Amino acid sequence: MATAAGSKARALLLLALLAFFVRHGYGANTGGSIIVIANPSVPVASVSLKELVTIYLLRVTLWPDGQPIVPVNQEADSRLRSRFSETVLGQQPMALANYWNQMHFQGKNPPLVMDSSQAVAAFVRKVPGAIGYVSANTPTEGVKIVERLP
Amino acid sequence: MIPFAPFPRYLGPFARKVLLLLTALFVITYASISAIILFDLSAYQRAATRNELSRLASAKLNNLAVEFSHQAVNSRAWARLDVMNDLVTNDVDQRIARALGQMKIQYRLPGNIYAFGENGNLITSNAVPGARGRSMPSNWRLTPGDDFRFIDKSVDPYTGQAIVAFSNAVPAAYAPGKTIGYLVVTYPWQVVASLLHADNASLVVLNHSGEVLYNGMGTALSPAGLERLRAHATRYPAGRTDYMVAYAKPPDNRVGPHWQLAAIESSNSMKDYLHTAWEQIALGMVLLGVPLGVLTIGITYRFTRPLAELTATALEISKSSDLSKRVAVTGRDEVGLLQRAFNEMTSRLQQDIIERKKAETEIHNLAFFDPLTQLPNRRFLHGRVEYALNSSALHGNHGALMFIDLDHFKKLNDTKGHEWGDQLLIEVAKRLKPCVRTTDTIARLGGDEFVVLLEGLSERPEEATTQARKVAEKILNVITQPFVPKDRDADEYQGTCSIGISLFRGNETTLNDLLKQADIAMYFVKDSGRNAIRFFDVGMQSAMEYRNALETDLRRVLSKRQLRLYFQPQVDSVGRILGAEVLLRWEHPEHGLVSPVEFIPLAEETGLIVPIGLWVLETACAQLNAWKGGPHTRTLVLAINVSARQFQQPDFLARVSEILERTAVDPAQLKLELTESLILDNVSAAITTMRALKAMGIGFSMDDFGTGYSSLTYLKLLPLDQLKIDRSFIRNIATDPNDAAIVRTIIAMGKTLGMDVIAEGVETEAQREFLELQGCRAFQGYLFGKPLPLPDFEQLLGVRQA
Repeated sequence: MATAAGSKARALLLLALLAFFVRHGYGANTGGSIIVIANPSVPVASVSLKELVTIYLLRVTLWPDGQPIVPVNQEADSRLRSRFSETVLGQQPMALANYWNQMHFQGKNPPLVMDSSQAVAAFVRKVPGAIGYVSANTPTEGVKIVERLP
Repeated sequence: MIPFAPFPRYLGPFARKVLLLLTALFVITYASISAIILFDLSAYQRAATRNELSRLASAKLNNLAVEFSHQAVNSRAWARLDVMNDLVTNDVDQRIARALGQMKIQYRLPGNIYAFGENGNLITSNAVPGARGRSMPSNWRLTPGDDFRFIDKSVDPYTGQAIVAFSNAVPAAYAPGKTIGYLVVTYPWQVVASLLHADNASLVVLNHSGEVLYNGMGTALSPAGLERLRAHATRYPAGRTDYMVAYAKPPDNRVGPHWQLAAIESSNSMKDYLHTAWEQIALGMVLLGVPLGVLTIGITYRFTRPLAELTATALEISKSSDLSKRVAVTGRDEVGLLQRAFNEMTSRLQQDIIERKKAETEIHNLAFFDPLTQLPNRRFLHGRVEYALNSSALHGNHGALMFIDLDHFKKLNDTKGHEWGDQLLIEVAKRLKPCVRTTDTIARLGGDEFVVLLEGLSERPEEATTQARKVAEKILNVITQPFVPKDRDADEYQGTCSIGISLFRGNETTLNDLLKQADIAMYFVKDSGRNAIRFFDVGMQSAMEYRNALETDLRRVLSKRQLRLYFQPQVDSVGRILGAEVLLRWEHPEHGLVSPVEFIPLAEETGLIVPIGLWVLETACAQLNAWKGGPHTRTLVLAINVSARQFQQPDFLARVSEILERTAVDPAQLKLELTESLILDNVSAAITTMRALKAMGIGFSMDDFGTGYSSLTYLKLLPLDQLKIDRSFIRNIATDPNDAAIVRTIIAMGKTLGMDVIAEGVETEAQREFLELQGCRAFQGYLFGKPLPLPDFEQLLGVRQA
């Protein structure tokens, strides 16, 4: 068991290094900014990047008032999701997909995937406790912007 | 061979009966077996059909359940897809719409999928893209708290199709227990109906409230039928036919409709099955019946043919009377026994008829032929003679009837035996045949009497006589040939015969006349010494008639007291009367005195000599008795001639003794004169009788001595008292030295033997002297007195004695 845990840790380290290298290599090419939105019922005004990480990596599942956090993801091959993954979550989308799969098997629902920013916005507007990220030009009426990313 | 009738005739009433019986038997048996089989088959088939129906119902219902369950599970899974969370966004990304399109294709869904939002408005559907926002039909809605519902048969409001459907609640992936919409999957009723189709039964589906959802009968259900189905009746009435019904109900724990499925026997299945069974039975009847029929006909034919043959043969026999016909024996069974018995019967009958015919022939032969010699008999001869007479009258020819009589046959037959006699007769018959032409007839009338009928002799009497004589001479000749008897030890015999012939011409005479004439002629032959031929003539006829008349009279001579005794004196040398020879005279009322020479042979022949002889003896004795008192008469000796026939009578001795006793005469006064031939007939018997008489005291004299062949040997044995020298020697005694010598010798011999000698026929004194000189002491003759009637003799006695 100890050996297995050791090798897993090494693999994570390697992935982090790789992610760092990719972010710095391609970061300059991705234009526009990301808005993090949440249902108005969410009891916080803003969510930090660190908080975003804990939310999307499913380490925190409840808002401070106790209602469940419903994270919403973008489609896997969307550039927005890639940027969100790299900049916010600091990991490659592939590694994250693996991570969420593992989480799903552990009984934790991975973030719901929507095809478009409009859909994410619609979902977050409708679903209490929902949080998602959309492109900056997405209409945001009915939702609460809790973070803006460069 | 019997011409057998063609085949059908043998199927007579009996055969037809057998055939009918067997056919009936076959049909009844076959029908019974068929009925039983059919009954069992139908019962079995009924059970099988019921099982099949039951299985079908269950299977169909199960199929539906599986299909529905499948659909339900699928729809449930689809409702839980992540993408369904897009209901929250009103499917802003069209992801649900795309997913539904993909499912429809991927799963080859026969129906449609509808996705409704949380409020029941249609969000997307693969069926009607333009219906977005329309609200969910009320029967599709779920009861709060439920997440699934089977929607019974109804109309899809969007498509107008009849469907069943599966309605699912869509749970939110992000919030357990939260419903974010509804997913409804429809299933076209058409597909359900296609699943409910069955080839060999009709299915009817009722929903839980008894409404008809599906009717595979082809026709509308009758209210009564529907009522029965609702009540789960096992029979469904349709017109006149009862159909079987089986039901199936899904298990309660199954997802799906609470339907009842009734499987109704197809109108054809059972009927078809029974129809097939009937066809097979009929086919079996033909396949079995035809060979059986042929076999039956064959067997019947086989059994009845021998009977028909028997009948045909019996009819044939009765028609043709030919008992030689037989039937073929076909086996060892009852029929064979019958045939055997039939053959046995016919052969027995045939044998009987042969024997009867043989007997008839024998009777015929006996009637017309002599069994001993095989010659025709009198009856046959009668016909032949009649024919010959007519033929003679027609052609003018002469005919001749010969009467042939074997000489001395009767005596020979008695002495040599009947067998010898029969042999002789057969031999004679054999010898007669070659003497005549084949057209002539030889018959045997009986005894030794043969008759030969010669026909077609010459027209001229002289020539005819010559022709007949020639034949007769031939016959005489062959008869005189020596006869060698079969018995080697017996002596040869040379016989003779006497033949009388009667010639005839025309048909005036009858057979009896002819026979009588031939007989007369034959008699004359016999009378004149036998072994000769005589033709009949009229003189013969009259002589015969006279003789016959005489014979008739002779039979009455004693009763009519026409006989008289004459006495011829016998004297001694001095002329004294010693006695007399008693002689018989017949005082015939018409012919006067008839000579003994004439009637004695007739009496001998007819046997009348016996009573006549006794009468003589008795009368003579009575006379002796009458003379007892007279001094001149009481010592007289009467000499009485005894014929051979009389002497040979077995009771002669007794009769003489009786007469002597009755008349009380001294036997010594009686002297019986016997001839040599009498003794020679049977010497020993004669000696016995003579000795017995001698013992009584009666004397004997040998009559006609010298004329016979007397042997000195037995002359010595005979108890004779006297020799009587025949008159033929006396006549010329004085002139003929030979006669003289003979007489001398006789006298000398008599002396030597101690016998008296008497000479008869002494007529002259010279004769008397010579005899006396030679020593003869007794005489008889005209010299001393001719035969005298009693009064004259008594007078003579008185004169002489006086």
